[in-house]
Amino acid sequence: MSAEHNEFSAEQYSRAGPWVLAAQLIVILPLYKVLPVWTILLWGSVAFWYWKVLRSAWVHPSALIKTALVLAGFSGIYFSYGRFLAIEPMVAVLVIALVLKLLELKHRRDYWLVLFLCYFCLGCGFLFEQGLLSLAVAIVQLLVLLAAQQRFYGGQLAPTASLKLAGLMLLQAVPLMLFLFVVFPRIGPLWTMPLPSQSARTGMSDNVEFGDISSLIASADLAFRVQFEGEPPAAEQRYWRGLVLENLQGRRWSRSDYKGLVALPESIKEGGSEPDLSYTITLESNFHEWLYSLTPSVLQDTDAHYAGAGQWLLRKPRNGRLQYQGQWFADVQIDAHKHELTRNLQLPDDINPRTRALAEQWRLQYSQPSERLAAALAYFRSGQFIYTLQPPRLGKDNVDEFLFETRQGFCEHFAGSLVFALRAAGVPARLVVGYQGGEMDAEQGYFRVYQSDAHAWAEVWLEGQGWLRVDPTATVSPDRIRLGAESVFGGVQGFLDAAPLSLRNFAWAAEIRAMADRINYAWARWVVNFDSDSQSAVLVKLLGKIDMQRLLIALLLFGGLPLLLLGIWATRFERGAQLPKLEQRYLACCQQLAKLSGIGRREGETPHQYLQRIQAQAPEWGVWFAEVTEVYVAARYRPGGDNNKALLQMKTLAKARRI
Amino acid sequence: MTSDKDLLQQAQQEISQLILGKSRQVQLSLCCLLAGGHLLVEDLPGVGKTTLAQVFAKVVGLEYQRVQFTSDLLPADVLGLSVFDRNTNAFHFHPGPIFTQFLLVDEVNRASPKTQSALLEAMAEQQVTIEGETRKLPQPFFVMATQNPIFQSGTFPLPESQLDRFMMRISLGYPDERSERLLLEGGDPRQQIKHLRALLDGERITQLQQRVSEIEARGSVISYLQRLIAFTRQDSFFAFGLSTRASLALLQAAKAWAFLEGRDFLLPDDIQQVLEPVAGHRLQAAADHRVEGETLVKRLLAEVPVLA
Repeated sequence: MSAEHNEFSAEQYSRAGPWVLAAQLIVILPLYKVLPVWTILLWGSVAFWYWKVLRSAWVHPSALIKTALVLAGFSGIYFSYGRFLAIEPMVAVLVIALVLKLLELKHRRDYWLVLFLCYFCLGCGFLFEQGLLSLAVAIVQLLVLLAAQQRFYGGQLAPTASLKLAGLMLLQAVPLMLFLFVVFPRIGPLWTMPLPSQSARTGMSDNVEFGDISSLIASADLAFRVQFEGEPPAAEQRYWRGLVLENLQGRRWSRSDYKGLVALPESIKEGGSEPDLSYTITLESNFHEWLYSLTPSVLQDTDAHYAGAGQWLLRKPRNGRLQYQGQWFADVQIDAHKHELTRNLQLPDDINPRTRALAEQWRLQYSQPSERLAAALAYFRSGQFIYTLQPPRLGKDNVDEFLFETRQGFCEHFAGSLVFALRAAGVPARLVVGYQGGEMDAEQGYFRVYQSDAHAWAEVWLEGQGWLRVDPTATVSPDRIRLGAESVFGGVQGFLDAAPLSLRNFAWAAEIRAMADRINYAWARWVVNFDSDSQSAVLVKLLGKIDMQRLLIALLLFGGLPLLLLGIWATRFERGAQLPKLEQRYLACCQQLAKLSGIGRREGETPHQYLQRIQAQAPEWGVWFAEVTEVYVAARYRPGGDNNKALLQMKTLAKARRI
Repeated sequence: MTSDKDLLQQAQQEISQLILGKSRQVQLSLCCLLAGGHLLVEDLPGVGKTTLAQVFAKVVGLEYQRVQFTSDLLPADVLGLSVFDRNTNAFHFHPGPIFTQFLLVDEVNRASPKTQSALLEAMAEQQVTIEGETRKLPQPFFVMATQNPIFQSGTFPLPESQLDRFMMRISLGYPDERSERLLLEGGDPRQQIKHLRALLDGERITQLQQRVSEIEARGSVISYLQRLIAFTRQDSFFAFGLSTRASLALLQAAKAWAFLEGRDFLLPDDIQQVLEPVAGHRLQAAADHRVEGETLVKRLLAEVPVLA
């Protein structure tokens, strides 16, 4: 298709230039978290070039320059991400293509291509964010794109009017959107794409060193929400187990590589016994590899598998929001294999000699492991330890320094030191990380667990009792466990530091925060998690059962029929319906006259002007139409004109000429 | 009412005796006077702007003054000033030419902006404040300003905000062949002015202005006016829309036009008749459409539906 043959030339399209730029900017900007900074700079310089071309100051770049830019863009992406086959580099490639297309905007098809790519980029944004905020962003983006698209159809509207019209178009599309949302098939991913790199992750990591968790507590982000079916457990019971860290290398705790013996305890295997409590957890949008649960629990999720030691991992790491159900068996013991016990006694050589000495002393003094545990806890209780967000930095013998010198630490200091001391005393022990507590939303009856609720505690194996949870933090600072981190650290420097503007910093905003969270939760529950299962459930509810015939009928009934009616309404009653009766009748006369005499009334013509033209060009109609006009004008414009009388007169006049 | 109409028609005929072939412009000038506005006449030198003003002033029988604007004219030259009187040992106010009923401002765009704005402020407020004392201008007060097109050298174009104060802008244009022939065969028009009759006077004009404002405008016409205004504010052809002052002026001028046509109610036709002189000088095309106010008004008339 050549540009010359279109009624709307490429030159006219170029008038839409500023709008094309605006459309690009508004779809690219919200992707800033994903894109390297230089893509934005590239956009700026390419947009400048395009602007100069629009102003006829510069010319389109040569093929050589374009090729160089494409190559530079691709290598830039490779260097920024280190690979191509992942979601982020793929999106970046799309964005680069969209940006560079500016340099060859010549024909109308180029403008359309750019606009459609913009819509595609908008969709890509949902790969990374699915919250309510991203919905608001998408609406703004759609408004700008729709307004830009209007420029391709003559572009007579001023920007504000254009945006208004875009809003109207969007509103009109809402029923169709809802309809498609409910019925459009949820197709599983057609291919799998390696998920984002380390940088995109926030929250708990799978290895811990002293100081790691206290840095998490600076974040005000939500980690997950929990809805209990029935009475929620007391705060002292709400330990959300994430990972068990068994390996201690140097000063770093990490997961054991050991993969054997990971069966669930017999008694809680399916059908074994009734769970004490069922709960549903909704993880916030993030990169997830493992799931959080009360210990011990069975999770009802096909993607989750039991990884031993009460841990639940995802078979394949996933991005985004996640919802799963769990069943908690409060009184079930978790037993250990003897290899597991040996593993949980191992310590790195030649560090923390003073702790080892103290542990040796306990071992000699007490024959029972439970007595050694009691001695260790007694040491914490009597040692004037301080629970603080800003513990002093520790050296190589960190446990020694903490236990005997600084005595100031955060949960991982207490838990880690206890595990170290117990292992040295010959009692199997391990470190568990996760979250503790959570904030109750009284109205909705669910709990919110924040990143600042991150916690570490210890587990100790005692003969006959299995693995027992021991939390030395509770010994030192019972409020942390009963009332939550906020009660201890609220107002302290370091707590929620990374989020100075978060509403969590202000007590008065608690209600607003709770409200916002409820809306978010509903959004996640009803919209984001509307998968093919929920879809089938809704369709079954509506249609009775799902088969092709019923689906087609429903599609026609709910989709086709309204559109058909809308179309009829739009063509037939476009303007007529809003006019008063007298006007309609007068216009009907005019239309009929136009048909009969070949002289049509123009929009901007007054009744008298039209009459004059009729009298001059079709005098045979002049007398009759003069009467029609007089009746209309008298009723419409003269003071005290009578509409009803005029309607009757007009009817008689129309009849006289068989109109 | 008929006597009013006859009288006004006589006045128009009287003026048209000397201003040949320009009956529409004459009617618009009268319309502007009756609507209580001020008139800007824009055209090339020598097409009869000043003659129109002189003839017009004579026939409507208003007290007449003329000021020629030049670049060295000061505000005091127009408004007046206080002069120390040695005999009485006090200041005495010497009113300037503005203290009159009919003021002809010749070549308004040749004075400095300072003087221009002094005049235009007085026009808008119908009063003059000099040295802290406010003096009312005589009633009726009508200003007819002439101006040469701005591309002529030595001119200070009036800014948009000042243009807005003139209710109408008209231009005379060259006379047609027949009128010019008549003009050439007749004597010097300026000589004949003294033979003209004054058909109206200040008091009569105030009465007529009152009548004009009583003309009824029904909702259907007002809606049309609003559609016109709204179109200028939304359509991208226009750099900016018409102001509320402009819409009031449009309504008032249309009423005066209806009155001159001998009607006591408003038709959309009246609005269309006065739209070009009232809106033409207030409208500007958006940057990418290089067209004049006249084209814009044509677009308005063609695009905005009269019935809706």
